[in-house]
Amino acid sequence: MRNRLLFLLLVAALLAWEAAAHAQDLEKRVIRRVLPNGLTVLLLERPLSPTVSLYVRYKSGAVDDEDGKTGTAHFLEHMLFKGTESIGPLDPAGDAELLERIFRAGGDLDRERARGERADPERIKTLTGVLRDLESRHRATYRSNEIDRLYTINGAVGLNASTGQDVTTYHVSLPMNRLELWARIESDRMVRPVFREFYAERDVVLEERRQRVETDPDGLLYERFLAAAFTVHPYRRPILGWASDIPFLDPAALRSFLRQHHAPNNTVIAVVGRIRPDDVFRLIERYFGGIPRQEPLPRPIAEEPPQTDERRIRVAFDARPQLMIGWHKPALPHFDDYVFDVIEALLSRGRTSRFYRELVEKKGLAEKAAAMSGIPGSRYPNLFVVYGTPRDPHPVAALEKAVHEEIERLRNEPVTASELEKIKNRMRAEFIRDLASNEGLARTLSYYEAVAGDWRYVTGHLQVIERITPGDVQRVARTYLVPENRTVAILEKQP
Amino acid sequence: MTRRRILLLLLPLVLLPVLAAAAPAGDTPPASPGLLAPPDRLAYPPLDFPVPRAERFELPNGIVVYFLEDREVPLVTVQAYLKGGSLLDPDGKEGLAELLATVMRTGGTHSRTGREVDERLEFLAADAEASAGLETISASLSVLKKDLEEGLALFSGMLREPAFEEERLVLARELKKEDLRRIADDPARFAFREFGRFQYRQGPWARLSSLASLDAVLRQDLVSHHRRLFTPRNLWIAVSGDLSREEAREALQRHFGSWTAADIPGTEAPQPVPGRRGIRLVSREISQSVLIVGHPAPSRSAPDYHAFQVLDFLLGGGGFSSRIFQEIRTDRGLAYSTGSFYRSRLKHGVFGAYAITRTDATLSVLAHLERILAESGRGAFKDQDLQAARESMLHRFIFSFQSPEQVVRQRLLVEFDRLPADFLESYRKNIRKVTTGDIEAAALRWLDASRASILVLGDPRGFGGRLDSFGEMMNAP
Repeated sequence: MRNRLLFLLLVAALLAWEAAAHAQDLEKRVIRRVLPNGLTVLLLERPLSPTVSLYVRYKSGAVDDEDGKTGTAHFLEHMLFKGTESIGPLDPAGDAELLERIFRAGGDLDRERARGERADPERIKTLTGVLRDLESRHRATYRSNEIDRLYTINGAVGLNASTGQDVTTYHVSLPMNRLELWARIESDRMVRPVFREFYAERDVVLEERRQRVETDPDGLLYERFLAAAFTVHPYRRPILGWASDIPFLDPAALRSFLRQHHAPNNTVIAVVGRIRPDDVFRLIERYFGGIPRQEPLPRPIAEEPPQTDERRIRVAFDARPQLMIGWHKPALPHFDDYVFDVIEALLSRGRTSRFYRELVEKKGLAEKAAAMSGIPGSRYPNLFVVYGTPRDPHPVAALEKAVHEEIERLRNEPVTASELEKIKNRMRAEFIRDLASNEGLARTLSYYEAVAGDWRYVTGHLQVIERITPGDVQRVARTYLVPENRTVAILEKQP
Repeated sequence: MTRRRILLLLLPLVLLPVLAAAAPAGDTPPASPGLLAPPDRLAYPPLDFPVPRAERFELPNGIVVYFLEDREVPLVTVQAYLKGGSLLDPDGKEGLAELLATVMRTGGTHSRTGREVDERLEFLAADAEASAGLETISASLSVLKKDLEEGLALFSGMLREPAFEEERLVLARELKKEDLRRIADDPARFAFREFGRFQYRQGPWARLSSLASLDAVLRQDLVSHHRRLFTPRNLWIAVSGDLSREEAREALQRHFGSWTAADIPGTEAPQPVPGRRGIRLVSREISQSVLIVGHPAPSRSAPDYHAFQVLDFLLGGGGFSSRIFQEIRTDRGLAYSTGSFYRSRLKHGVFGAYAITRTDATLSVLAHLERILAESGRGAFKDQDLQAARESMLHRFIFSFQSPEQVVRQRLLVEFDRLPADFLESYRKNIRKVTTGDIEAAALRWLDASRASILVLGDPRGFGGRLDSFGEMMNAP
């Protein structure tokens, strides 16, 4: 046993050295520049393939939605694919004029619908007819899906965007010679988007909600769980928005969100691939440099009060049971957040992790049991979450009990040195593996620059992890992973 | 920098099946565009892209190896491919190949228990996995360069002399059974799985594992199936990363060279016969329906393979601008997920158009999907559409070769799938040659409504009409 530990420590030392060397190398190779308007640019040359991966991150997301208008950030993300003033119009005057009339008719219709049971069905029918008619006339004045077409014919892959609680992201990979197309499109839609096809796209979002929440037990449980775990902080609200808010989101809400949150001083860009950094920087300067900076917004985000008692909810749904448990914890770069990264790996990373060994293999209670730190976002104090599915014939209660036992073990017994080293080894190797993809690097660098304020969080992460001791793990477990700080959500069939 | 694995953390704009494909092209000389110049007038420097090569060699015992050196990070990746997948599962033991792959990885080797293997791999921070598809079993290893020897010893132990511990078989079987019990909880996954069976109607391609068939798989089945399939002459290996060709050859020779076993196993299965038009309904009381309209499609070596690739791109594989996405999602707001997929196998292919829509729109979306497919054989796609699809596919070709692992895999699969040796080199030329006439001919030949397999998952009480007005209803077996 002693020899094994010695050997492990030797392996670990080598790997720690190797990872540290790569971290240092990365710090030398990433170029970070800030434009006078506050736009942060990260550039990394990787010559392997003649391609380039591009990430634009806005440091705003669903947490910044106004109450009553939840889903704004996410809907705006959809609408930024509808073209701009100079991308899409065939008949610019007709395009603009009809769009104005569409928004007026749509607004009238929304106001009537908002009357609920007192709404006049005849008037709704008439207004719907007017709106449909305007929309079909509008269709002749622009080219639909023009942004996607431009990217696609130029060989784009991975074109997508996503909205999180903290950050909204637009990303794409292109052949290296097509960078200018990206700069042209992204700088334009950052300030001059046109919300064509607004009402049809709102229906798409409602379909998205049906697909991800209403008909999906995982999504439904997750939504209800967050609404229980957070009572005040906006992390309690779904990114998609509440079902009653989405059908009334209006163009004005989206415009004001765009103006406030898509400012260059709220934006991070990462470019990774076969590039000449100076040329790319000049290109970005040329296209994005003229966008005016905005006054930073005061963010009056309500703080979540400390939880003092266990919360427990039940979601009835016709599906096999699922379990979700969450404990409140601080956000990065708090030292304890790093310790939670270690706990997450200890509990559920790989086949020798504690959950897999105990709950899946030995006790046979679970089909899956996973730990995740940093739910549902990273900018504000968040949750450490355990998600699990029991295996027939075991009831979900048995799985819950077994999870609590594992958590208790973390509180009661210090982790052995060899188990801790094993976890650190995995984290070191993962760091090295993550260096091998343009897309992955662009994603990671831009994310931590946006959320932690400095991409070097990525290279510093391992240094902090190296310092974590069994005592830290135990202290953190004793501080946060306690019953009065947890929310338990169980989804199962109506009895 | 933990890897967040939960999907719900972010909501992407679109969920699409990921496609591989495409390449470079010469362009007009650069101009100096003003800020608001139409993006179509931007000019790009030319980009020449010769398809990256990998080195090929054989071990004396017949194992074919593809190799590519890459020194960027101190890692080595090994990918192994064998012919024979779940198609060869005996009747009543569906799921055998899948369990074989899982327990090969988890059930120990001749010299180490499964638990020891797990611990060693964890110790070395190495990743090893194995999985089975319909026609292929594959396994992979990612290991730090300095641990290559031990990593390969474990990996070759799994492939050559797996112990198939009973305890690990029980675990794999129980987990697979629970996964089956839970499939119905995910409407899209459930529908696509059922479609996989329905499109083939009967025969070896139309089988799925069940609780009973998984229970019927015994350790002895794994042992004999392994003995039959796992021979050096049925093994292709791709190696890439931080090592030289000689290092790779010597290491593989050390760990796989002494392996001599019988001949090439017969792994051919009879090809499916296209059925006549039919509809299968999977009833579920939910607020949305999943619709899939399936058709037979060309194999990867068929003469109209490239034309069909373009057709699928135009119909629903090409993102927002593709016809199905434009009409169902953008124009009508009827779905979040909609599009098409084309899966080309060795000797046949499968095409499907799909949409997930609210219950009361089910029948109208189904009618739209079928109309769009029918129109594709009647001149729906003009020269400019074809031009755009071709451009896209040619320009994105380079993304199939972004990493050394991708390059060796692409090269290996050409030989593994018995494609023409210049398949990758001639891909762009073949895409360029496709005409609107070819697309129409492919659509008329393959997207024949009288051979459609239509699967609908949803609540028929809310359809607002009769599903059987679309054709004969066929019950699940």
